[in-house]
Amino acid sequence: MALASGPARRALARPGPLGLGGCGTPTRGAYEWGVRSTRKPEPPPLDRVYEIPGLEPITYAGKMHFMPGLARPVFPPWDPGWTHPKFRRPTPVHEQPLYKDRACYVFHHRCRLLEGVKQALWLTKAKLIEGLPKKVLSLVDDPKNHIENQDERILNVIFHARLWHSTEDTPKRETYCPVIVDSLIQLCKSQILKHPSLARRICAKNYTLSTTWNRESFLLQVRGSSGARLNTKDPLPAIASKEEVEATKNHVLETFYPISPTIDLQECNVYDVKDNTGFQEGYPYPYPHTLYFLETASLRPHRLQPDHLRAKMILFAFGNALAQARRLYGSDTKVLEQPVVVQSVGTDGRVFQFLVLQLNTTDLASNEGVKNLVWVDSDQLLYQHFWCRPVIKKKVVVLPGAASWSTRGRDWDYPGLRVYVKPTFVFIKPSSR
Amino acid sequence: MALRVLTRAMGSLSLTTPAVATLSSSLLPAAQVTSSTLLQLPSSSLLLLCRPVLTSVALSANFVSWKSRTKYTITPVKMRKSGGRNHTGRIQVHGIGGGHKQRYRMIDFLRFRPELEAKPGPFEEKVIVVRYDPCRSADIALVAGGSRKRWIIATENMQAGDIILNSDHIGRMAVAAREGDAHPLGALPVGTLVNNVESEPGRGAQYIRAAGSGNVHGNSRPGIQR
Repeated sequence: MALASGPARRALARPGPLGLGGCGTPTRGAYEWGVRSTRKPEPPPLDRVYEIPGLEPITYAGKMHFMPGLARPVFPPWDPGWTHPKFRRPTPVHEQPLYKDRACYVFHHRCRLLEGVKQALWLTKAKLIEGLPKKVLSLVDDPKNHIENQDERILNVIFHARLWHSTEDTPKRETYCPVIVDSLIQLCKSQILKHPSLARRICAKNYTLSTTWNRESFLLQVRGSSGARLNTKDPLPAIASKEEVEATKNHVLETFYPISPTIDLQECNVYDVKDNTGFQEGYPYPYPHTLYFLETASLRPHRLQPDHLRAKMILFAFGNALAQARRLYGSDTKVLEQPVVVQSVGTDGRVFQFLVLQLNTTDLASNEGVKNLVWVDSDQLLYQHFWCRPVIKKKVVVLPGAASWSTRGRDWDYPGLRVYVKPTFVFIKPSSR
Repeated sequence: MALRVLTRAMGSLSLTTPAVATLSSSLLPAAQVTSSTLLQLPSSSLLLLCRPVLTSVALSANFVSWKSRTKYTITPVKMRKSGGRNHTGRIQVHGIGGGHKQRYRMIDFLRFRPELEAKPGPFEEKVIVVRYDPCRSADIALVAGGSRKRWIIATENMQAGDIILNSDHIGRMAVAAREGDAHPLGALPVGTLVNNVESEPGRGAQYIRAAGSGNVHGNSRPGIQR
């Protein structure tokens, strides 16, 4: 043992990592991250005297100074009896009260799923249908639901958010994105006189959600607060008929071998299994209607890509629907007679994603049986471009800035601002259902 | 400690001798102090009373390596360039320095590294994206298997969506090698082009890692690959 040194000693102490048909251990393992000079130095090893059982080593502790020849004393760790709040360390994971052996995979508002919508559909046991359901699209075409001067009012909204309401030359996404969404919702609220049922709604921000479910031996959880939620006094009616729901039994969920469905989810052992809708029992607006997700980061790497945003919308809508179903019908796993419907809108200030989710079953552990349904309308532009400052090439104004354009007559051929009003806007309007 | 010695020694020095200082302070006004100092020169005896003093000290090199991260991650890590300097701060290799700022992506050179110790067999991974790496001549590929993602050196025709196999199994028959797969050399037929070769199993690839490199597997004796 004394002859061995360095890597050879480590090789002798540690058995070989791989049993490759009996070949020996490697003399050096693979590269270990962290250069030795930056690692914390190990504490000095105990004297050999301590290895002899039953022997009381003579140390220099009583002499209060070092004495060569005597053993190094080992003191119990000092407990000062109190901790300064600045230097308090959290309790180790194993000792925390909510620690559980089974790992839980948590999805929160910053998770970016590798497989995007496919992974979200597998996690929620849902079938994807492109395009919004016919019931919602019929609301778009109904002329009673149109707002007077709709196009002009939306142009005003866009100009206000992107140019007028801030004193900066070019407002940032953190400023204009919430302003656009709030203004559009306000525009919809202006229809309360025509559709009095719109008054039975309320918007709530900073709500916390927590739901847990089992999915084929994985314990999954959706947690966190993300964006605003519109609550109503009456639940949304089911969109798909019973036959369509029964037809989903034949649908096979898409897997993505060799990637595990829990990739990019946060794995943690400290969690609480309680369901929490975010609102107490006696809340006057108990049913969730629409969720709004805003991507307000100015830098592109910090923003979620449209695919990731859609996956996040699916999972949060599913979490809300599941918590609501469990509150209404109990926590048994069963197929719901009255499916729970939750809508969702996600945007980054220009591109909108729409989603309608119908929760048909809470039996999510197996892959067979009735599936949930998701209608997605993705990548709808509200406007193509918006240039606050004029585009000048070779000292010639190629495109006038938005400020100068707005003061002239409204000209629909302005190249930077093509407004696609109908399909996006009317959906944001809370329907009169 | 050197600083303390220096200040003590400096404190013992003065421009004038102690005798002259008392005379000047008592008899002469301040305006005439300057003339008296020019007349008096420090005698050699005073110099002998002073300790020899170092008025300069060599700076120690504060070199801390930037490689302090112990946990593996796929996000790029900030790095510091050496400029050819070693831990003493002096140039050891000339000609290195400058260039665009780079972030280091931690590459996993041990291909056969199962995610869980409980499942030791061969496993497959999927290539997510192949991208440029500023720190090396070869491109790197982000591969995902199970619940973990890692960077590996990409082979020539690797594309997003490929499935690659990492295996440690040596069978009686040589494996029909596909591009991008990792096998022990004993399982590969003679004549396959290999790269990212490790000298012993479990060591990690140390040879043939640069772009355009590839070596012909020439050993014709199966089962004695070390």
